[in-house]
Amino acid sequence: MNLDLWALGLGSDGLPLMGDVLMRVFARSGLHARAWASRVRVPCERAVLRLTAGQERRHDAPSACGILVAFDAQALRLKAGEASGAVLFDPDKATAEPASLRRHAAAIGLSSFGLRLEPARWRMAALGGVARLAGMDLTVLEGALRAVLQGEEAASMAADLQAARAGFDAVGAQSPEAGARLGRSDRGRLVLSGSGALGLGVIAGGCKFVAAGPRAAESESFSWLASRAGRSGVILHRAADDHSAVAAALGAGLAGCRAAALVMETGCAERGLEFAERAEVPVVVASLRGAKAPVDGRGSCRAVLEPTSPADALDAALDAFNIAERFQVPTLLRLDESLLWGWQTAERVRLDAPMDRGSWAAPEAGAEAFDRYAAGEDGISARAVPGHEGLMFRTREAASSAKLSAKRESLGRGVPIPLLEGPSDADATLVAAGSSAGVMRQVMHRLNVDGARCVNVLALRCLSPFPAEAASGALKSAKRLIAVEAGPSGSLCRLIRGETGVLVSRSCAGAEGPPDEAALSRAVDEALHD
Amino acid sequence: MTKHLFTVPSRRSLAGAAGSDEERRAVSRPGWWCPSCGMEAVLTAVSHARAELGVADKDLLVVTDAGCARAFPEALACYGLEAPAGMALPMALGAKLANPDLFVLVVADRDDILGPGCGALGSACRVNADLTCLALDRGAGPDAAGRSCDPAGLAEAAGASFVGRLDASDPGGTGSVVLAGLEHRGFSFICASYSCPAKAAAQPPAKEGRPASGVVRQAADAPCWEELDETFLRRGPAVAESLALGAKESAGLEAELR
Repeated sequence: MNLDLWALGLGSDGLPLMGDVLMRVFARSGLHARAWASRVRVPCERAVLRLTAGQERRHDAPSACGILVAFDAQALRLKAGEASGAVLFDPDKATAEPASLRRHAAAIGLSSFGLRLEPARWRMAALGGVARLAGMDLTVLEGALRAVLQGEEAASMAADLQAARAGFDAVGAQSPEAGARLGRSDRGRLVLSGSGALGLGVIAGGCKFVAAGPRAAESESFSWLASRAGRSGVILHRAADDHSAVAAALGAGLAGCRAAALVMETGCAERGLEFAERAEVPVVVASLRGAKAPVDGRGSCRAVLEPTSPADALDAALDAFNIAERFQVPTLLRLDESLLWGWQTAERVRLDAPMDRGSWAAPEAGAEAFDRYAAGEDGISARAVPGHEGLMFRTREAASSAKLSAKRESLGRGVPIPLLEGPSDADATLVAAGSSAGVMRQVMHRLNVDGARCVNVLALRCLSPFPAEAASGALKSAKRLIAVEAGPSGSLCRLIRGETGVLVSRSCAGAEGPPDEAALSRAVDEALHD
Repeated sequence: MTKHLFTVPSRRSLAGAAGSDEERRAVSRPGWWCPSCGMEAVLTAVSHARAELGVADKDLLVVTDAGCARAFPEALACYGLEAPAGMALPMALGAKLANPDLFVLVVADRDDILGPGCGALGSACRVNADLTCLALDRGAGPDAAGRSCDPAGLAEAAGASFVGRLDASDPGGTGSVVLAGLEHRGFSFICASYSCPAKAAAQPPAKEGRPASGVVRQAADAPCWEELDETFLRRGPAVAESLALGAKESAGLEAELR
């Protein structure tokens, strides 16, 4: 059994906090969970939280609504008719008409006035109510709340805990049978948010300098880093613009640090990335809204990684720093909002990944003058940093095309290759890059029940150098090939065609991102019945 | 010469070295510069100041644009970085924050600093890291759109803790301003006016005279980044940090995920 939750409200209602607490509750109860909250820029903007939890591993936030938490009348109007299990609302703000609800759905009113809550604490009562509906322990909820709210004033935290208890008890009293019974296990899990996973990857990857453009400096990832940078020895720099942020990271990379730049779009970083390729300066650029831009890796000498999930964002960040230093290339991490504003439970995290710092030059007695750009057969030079005696050099765009070509080949052998997941002889193969892989995996697990061999999936994580050799086999042997696009641009189909020559005739995309589970399932059904 | 491990660079002590190295004051003009280039006086002034302060060649990083100034690192026999347009100042700032043991000097055309890299000037003034920026002004006057901007005035308005002007045709004043800028602890911005023979051939110099060499502003007591940044004060240069997480730190981060 699963719990599929939707919470609808305004930006000021604090849905991300609600998602964070609920994810910790489910993780501490040994369940798998996945959630996604919309990013809101102003408090009056509409916001949504989608969360799914259960005994089975979840790959994407739910598109179906089992339990609805409606913060206002508009939320009730919009979604109450779709909730199949229960609707939590504040009867002081709105009324859930029985006629507007589905047949077995329970309308559960949590009155702020009746529970003697300040309006701002209604969300805590709703949290308690959801925990009660999911069959979770009150003590687990209290522990999760304390973990998330630590640092708040004691009186405020006590009031929040009181509100959560009141909601928990009120739901139990009103609808003792409503909701899902998810079960529990003693095996606690970890909770990773996309923004936190990126920050964690930066710290665990040994990065000691992070520069961010003005908008990226307002992001959750940068905030996460800022609250831990001092402890981890990471120097943070708020640059005037994305262009300067990339340049500052390049300067720090040249000086010998593992350095990263956080930017919004990839366009402003392009000149810096080109310089880093030709001047052989290792740097990692994380583009927080870069996953929608088309990729043209031909001719460039950089790694482009697009993580497929929050947990993968951590691994991709670790890989990115190793690739950058080992090959002395820029590495671009392309992320999007569906990944950064998502949560995922994980069994464990890899914080002790080995560091590969590449080849370094050292002064030798009687040796000729140091040539920074003299390369071996693999196109990789011995690296040096300012401050050493006998290794003076000038960093410039000196790498020749032949050298970059040799390095590109080496880089192609050093980046992660994609693996086909699911039965190798499936009737249809889904291919996706980045965060679209979540919905693709979810559909595969739903369709391949009871030993069915309907679908397998190929999740592309490295887009440049494109792993053409590894991907071609799976793509060419596919009985039916469907590309899961992260938007209507069709860039993935073009990339696959350009890199492998395989024509992807079917694709499925959402309006502004990956398709939802229902839309992709329909596309697979249509393909299977063609 | 490869397969060595990364070794942390460290600054050579200045004590006892200041003013002692007469040979290092001499610097030859790069062969490809125009014979009467005014930038030679700036190069000489930098070389003298470096020797006066006792800065080791290995500890000096000169970040330049892609113009004639790119000859500075070779002429000074130090580390160099030839930055793309608009990136000289932010790159220098990144290098300085990563390794404060380096003496970082930016030598770039004023249009490079006031054009695409203009935002970085404000950042550098705000951060006030201990680096020096020489904005080379070859008397170009207003740009094609008729705009004219005084780089030193802009830096002063942005809050640079040291602002100076120099006229390369006045060697004495040039030397003293460059030395004062390099000595200043914090961000130093110096607008260096010089005569460019190539420019003069194409366009006569502006009618108004160049401003005299001198220090426009010096806030000696303004705390610099190295005195303010808590991470640096507690842990030292970022470049010297161990990359791997300690067991305690790993456990702490993992505990936050529960």
